[in-house]
Amino acid sequence: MKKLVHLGLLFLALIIFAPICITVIHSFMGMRELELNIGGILGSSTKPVAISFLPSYPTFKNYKDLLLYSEAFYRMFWNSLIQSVPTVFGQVVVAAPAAYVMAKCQFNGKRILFWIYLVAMLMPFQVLMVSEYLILMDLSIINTHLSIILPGIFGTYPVFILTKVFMNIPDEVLEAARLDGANSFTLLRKVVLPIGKGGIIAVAVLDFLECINSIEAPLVFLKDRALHPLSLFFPEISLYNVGAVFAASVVIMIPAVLVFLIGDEYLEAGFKAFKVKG
Amino acid sequence: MKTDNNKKKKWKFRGELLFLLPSIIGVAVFYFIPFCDVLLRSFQTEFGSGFAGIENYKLVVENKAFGIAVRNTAKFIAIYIPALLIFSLFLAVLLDYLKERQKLYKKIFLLPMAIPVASLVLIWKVFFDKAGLINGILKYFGIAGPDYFHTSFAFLVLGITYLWRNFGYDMLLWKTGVDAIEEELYEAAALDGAGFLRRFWYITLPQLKEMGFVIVVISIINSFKVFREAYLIGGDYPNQSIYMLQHLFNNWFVRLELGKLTAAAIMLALVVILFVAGIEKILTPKEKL
Amino acid sequence: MYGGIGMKKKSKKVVYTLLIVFLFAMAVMTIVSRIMNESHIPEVETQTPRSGTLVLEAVGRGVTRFGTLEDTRVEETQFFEDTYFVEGYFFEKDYLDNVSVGSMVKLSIEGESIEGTLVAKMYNYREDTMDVLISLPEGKKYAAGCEVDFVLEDARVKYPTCISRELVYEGDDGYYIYVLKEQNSILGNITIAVKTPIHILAQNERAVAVAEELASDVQVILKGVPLEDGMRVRKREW
Repeated sequence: MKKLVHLGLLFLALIIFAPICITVIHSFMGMRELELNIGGILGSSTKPVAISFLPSYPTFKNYKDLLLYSEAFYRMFWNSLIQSVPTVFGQVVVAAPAAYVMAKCQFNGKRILFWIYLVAMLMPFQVLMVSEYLILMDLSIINTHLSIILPGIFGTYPVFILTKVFMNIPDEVLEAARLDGANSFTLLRKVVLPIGKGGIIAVAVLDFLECINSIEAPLVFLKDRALHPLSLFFPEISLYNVGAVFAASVVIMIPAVLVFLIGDEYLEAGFKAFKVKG
Repeated sequence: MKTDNNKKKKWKFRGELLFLLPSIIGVAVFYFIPFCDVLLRSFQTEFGSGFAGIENYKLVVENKAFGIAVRNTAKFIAIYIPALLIFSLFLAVLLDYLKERQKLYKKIFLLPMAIPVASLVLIWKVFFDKAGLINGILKYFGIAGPDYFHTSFAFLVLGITYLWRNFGYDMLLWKTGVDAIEEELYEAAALDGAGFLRRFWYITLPQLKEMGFVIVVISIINSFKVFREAYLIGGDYPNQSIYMLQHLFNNWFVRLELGKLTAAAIMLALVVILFVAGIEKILTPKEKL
Repeated sequence: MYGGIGMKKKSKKVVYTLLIVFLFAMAVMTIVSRIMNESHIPEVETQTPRSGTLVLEAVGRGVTRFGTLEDTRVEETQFFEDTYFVEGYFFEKDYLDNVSVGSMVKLSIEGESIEGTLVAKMYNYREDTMDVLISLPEGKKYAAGCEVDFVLEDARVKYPTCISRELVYEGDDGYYIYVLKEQNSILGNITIAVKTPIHILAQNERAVAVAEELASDVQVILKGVPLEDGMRVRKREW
């Protein structure tokens, strides 16, 4: 029985890995081989796609084309980072203290505030886009990196998750620190943040993956193509660039997967805190 | 619980409320004020500030594209969110049952989350194109496959993308929920002679309620995000079966039909709020937050 | 309590290092690409195809005759009795579609070069040739029934698509040219050379008429730089 389950799960793993592997494999193929294999989807032949598991003539040409000669790719890449890293950093700085208060303090209107945050989190971007656009225009930061970063920083998703995480810090711990004479700030810095570290890293990782995939906001707020991030790159795929697009797909994947590997264990740890309260 | 609350109230919070301030200001500026602005605009004539009553709402409801987009979005949520929840819960229980190699499987199943949308577009074309890999395999079995992107099969592709990307994270959350259930509960039930299914139904599921709320909320948020894949694959006007509310809103925005846009936005917001309030009522125990 | 964290510190360290290395490499490559971008992409010059008239040599063969020649050049057909002429055909009838009657034709009869005048042409459906009659200068006697080669040196033929001869490459599987194509891709807004097979209708030492219809704004790349299909190029700006 267990073997059967393993088999099923392995099959699932295969489905996950297939697209990734195929992308990597094809990024090492030359143009002729790509035409032979996937010409069908490029309109240059009517043959259905045939996948080979290793390139017959592996080549770095695609990477060379992409990495040596393309300013545009780097521009988009750095745009992505410029827009996501400050957002993630700011989100954590703003959300962690707020979440601590939400989780551990009682005050009037908390429930209403929680609901406002929840609703803000759930609203699809398009609901608020008109007014947000006008506000960004009033702040005269429309069509700049800031127009992506600022609204991003105040996204309420991290507050929601971190509230869940901090709620599981036992009250006794906080009280003990208080009795030792810790003020609110030291309490946050010395007790809450270290204990909730796993959750915070998890949130940062989720945010980062979210930010580098962001499409809606850059599409509306950034008119200038020179500011567009990688996620907005719209490939006109043809035989002549399909190799480079495969290579680009791989290169884009690298930082995302690395960040994911840094954080994937914390993803769980952040939520494991649920157990502590029991 | 009550004594707990009283004890908390004795603490001085004044300083701590300052921690909330940046977040509250930001949320006010970028979410709350825009929301009120949208609400106001939805009752105004386009561009001008004349009062339009419910004229905009009428226009939206009568709009044919709106009907299509609502139907598609509702259909997507109604089909794929339950599918995602059930599938990931099933996997979480399987992992719990396995007890071994859990860490490895979790890592693998979470991986799709990390794959950027932009990287996915081309490979999805390789898979789902009319002359793509899947149709190639079908052809091998003598079945003529459809053109996935330009027929109503696009809906299926989008659903698969959603499941592929999100089942790992949902599974992880379910699994942490399952892990949190105390072993004694099961042991007691086992003594009573309850079978696997009965234990699942009477112990596991009720204990997962609170986690369930978090997972549903996250799944809804993520279901709105499939727009990204839909947009990168299909552009502004994809196949009608995946023409979502977000497409419609974007197109209205481009055409500056702000009256309709804001009215529709308010309707969507209302539906979302009611939906989540309902779910919360069912799944969250009263005394928590 | 918060199990798992720090257990695999070593592998985490590897991941952090990889991330930093990756970012650093991207930064370096960004600068490198700035430098490479301009200098390593070959500059090319281009030409656009035009409709045009090719001056071609039409080669034919015939036999000398003696008898009555009808001259169809004027409205009322003239008859020249007892005159020498050549009855023959051109090998490539296409060349002659636009050749008007009255053109001069160079003939060589028994080693002697003579100029004659084209006086009639008629398409021969059976043989798929262009049959012609050429009058020979008067006052001379020729042997009748002699085989004659003749050349029309300025057969002017109009073609919709003509390109300079310097643009055409000859490969194993026929002729081809490289066409400049703009592409908006992950590499940015770039131009590449696309190999395009062509079929040649007619050619002289300067130009080539192409069967394919190329749009008049197609930029065909001049020879000079070794090209490959799909290779990035820069158009030389003047």
